[in-house]
Amino acid sequence: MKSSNPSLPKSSAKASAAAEAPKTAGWIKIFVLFHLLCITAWALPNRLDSLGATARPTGTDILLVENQRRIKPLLPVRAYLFTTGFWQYWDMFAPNPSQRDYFGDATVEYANGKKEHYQYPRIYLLPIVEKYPAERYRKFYERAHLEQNPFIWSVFAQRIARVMDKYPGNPPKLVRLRRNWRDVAAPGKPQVKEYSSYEYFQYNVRREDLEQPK
Amino acid sequence: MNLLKSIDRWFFSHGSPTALGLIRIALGLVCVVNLGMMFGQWRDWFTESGFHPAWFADTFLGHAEQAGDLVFSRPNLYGLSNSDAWSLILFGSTFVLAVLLTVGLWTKPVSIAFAVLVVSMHHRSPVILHGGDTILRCLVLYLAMSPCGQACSLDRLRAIWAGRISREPAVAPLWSQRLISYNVSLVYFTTVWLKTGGNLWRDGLATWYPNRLQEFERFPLPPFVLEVPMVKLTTYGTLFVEFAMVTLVYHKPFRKYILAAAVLMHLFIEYSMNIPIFAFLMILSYLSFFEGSEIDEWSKQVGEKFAKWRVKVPIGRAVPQTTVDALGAMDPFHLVEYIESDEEPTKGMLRASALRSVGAWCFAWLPGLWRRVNRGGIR
Repeated sequence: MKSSNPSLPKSSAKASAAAEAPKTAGWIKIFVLFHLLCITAWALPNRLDSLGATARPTGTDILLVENQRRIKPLLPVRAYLFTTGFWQYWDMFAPNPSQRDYFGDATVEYANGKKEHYQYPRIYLLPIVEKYPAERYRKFYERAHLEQNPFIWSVFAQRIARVMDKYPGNPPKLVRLRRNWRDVAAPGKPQVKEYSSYEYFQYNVRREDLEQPK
Repeated sequence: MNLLKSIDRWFFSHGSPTALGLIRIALGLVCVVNLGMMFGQWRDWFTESGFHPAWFADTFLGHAEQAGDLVFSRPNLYGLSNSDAWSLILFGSTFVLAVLLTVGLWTKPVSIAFAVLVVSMHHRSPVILHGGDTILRCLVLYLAMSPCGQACSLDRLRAIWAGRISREPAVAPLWSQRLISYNVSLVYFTTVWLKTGGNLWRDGLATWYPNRLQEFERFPLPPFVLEVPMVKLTTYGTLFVEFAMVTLVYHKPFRKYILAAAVLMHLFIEYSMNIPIFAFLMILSYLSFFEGSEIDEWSKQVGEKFAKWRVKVPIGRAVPQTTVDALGAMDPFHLVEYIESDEEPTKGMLRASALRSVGAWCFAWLPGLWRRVNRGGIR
């Protein structure tokens, strides 16, 4: 009998509808709850670094610090998020948007002493239709040049050496990586147009670097 | 208790999976475009001779979790071999699966295989991932757990055609759709929380900076948008919209206004800044805030508004009812009326019915196929 039957009293119509509604298995509910706890705990901001070792957290920072100390390190949470791929952290334009433009380039020195400039893909210089797909190069460089990621530098230089290995008998010998940056000035202050530069890594190219890895 | 019951009812209700079907199509299309854009860079990001060899992943993401002898490693099919050929096979397979997911063919195994490949890709090369990739990965995983093939899919059409199911919208568990809504709100919740700790957001000057970064420049903006009064408006407006996406969006009378504001916010970022696919992913995820039945009803109403465009197409008496039902299921706006008649449909009628049958757009353009379908010639 359908619940919309007018001859059925309201309470029994409700009971009938509830009986007809498909039930969700208990294990699914437990899984959903566990999933919600894991992704929420993982996505909540970290506060320990910004507070420092000695400062006492107050207000909502107590929750964040406790989450970072007690929930995030739990093996079931970490194992679940990393084995499924649900790990996530959201910090778009937060806590403050970036105020600095970066781009990378390099100087390549050849065996005969000749020097050439290598321009890593720079979004600003690309035509509008090429900017969109090339954004990954910017994202990679945003992390690749950082002082906390020096493991990337040698590989980065090796790749540049292979790209620039174009003269038979005159291979690249040295790659100098350079970061260039410019800060956006606050409202009311003059905007700096020139970029500052810093050579952050030198790589002596080996013969095997120029062969394609197997 | 009532609140808990309401949450339980909301999370574990059953209903039309139309919203999930639409999310699947939109996400599939975004994935196809995204993979297409990455194809030209495949060597740079997915081979050992590129900028990102496989071993970066462990150093960047940290090593696998371990409990005694148990090791919980990050699934990564790329790790089975470091050869370029294997990487290309996986990349190509991901593309093919994205196409199949979009049209909804063999949706359940395809969505699971696609999720495994997307997760593998992200675990192979994490240094190049941006926020768009993370939301894409989460959405793909949610779809793999969902009944997204039960609406707006070739699977559904084939089942109706074969008489295995009726044309009525399916009734399916919607907890995976609720997880999408929750995760979308979580994105905004955590960023708003982080932003409250940022002095530029508190001072109303945050949007002054991103629009002046040369490396993010895209299309030009009118100068007044870059000035302080507008910067204050867009900064506080962003915080309000993001917070509303966690709170007010769940209150039905406000829902469409909050979602419209969030869509505008993302379209503004999409226009002004070079941040690929993120806006489209966020916008398509907003479909999860609508019930499938609401979308079904809305499509009927739209069909009524465009009733003057309705066409009548003769369909042979010998054509089985299941074929007529499948043809009807391809026409969500009810703009094609099939009339039993021995008359042959003209080319114009067929073209008109194909154009109005949105569900047939993925195959009706194949020469002769739509005519055969209309004559019940395909079993």
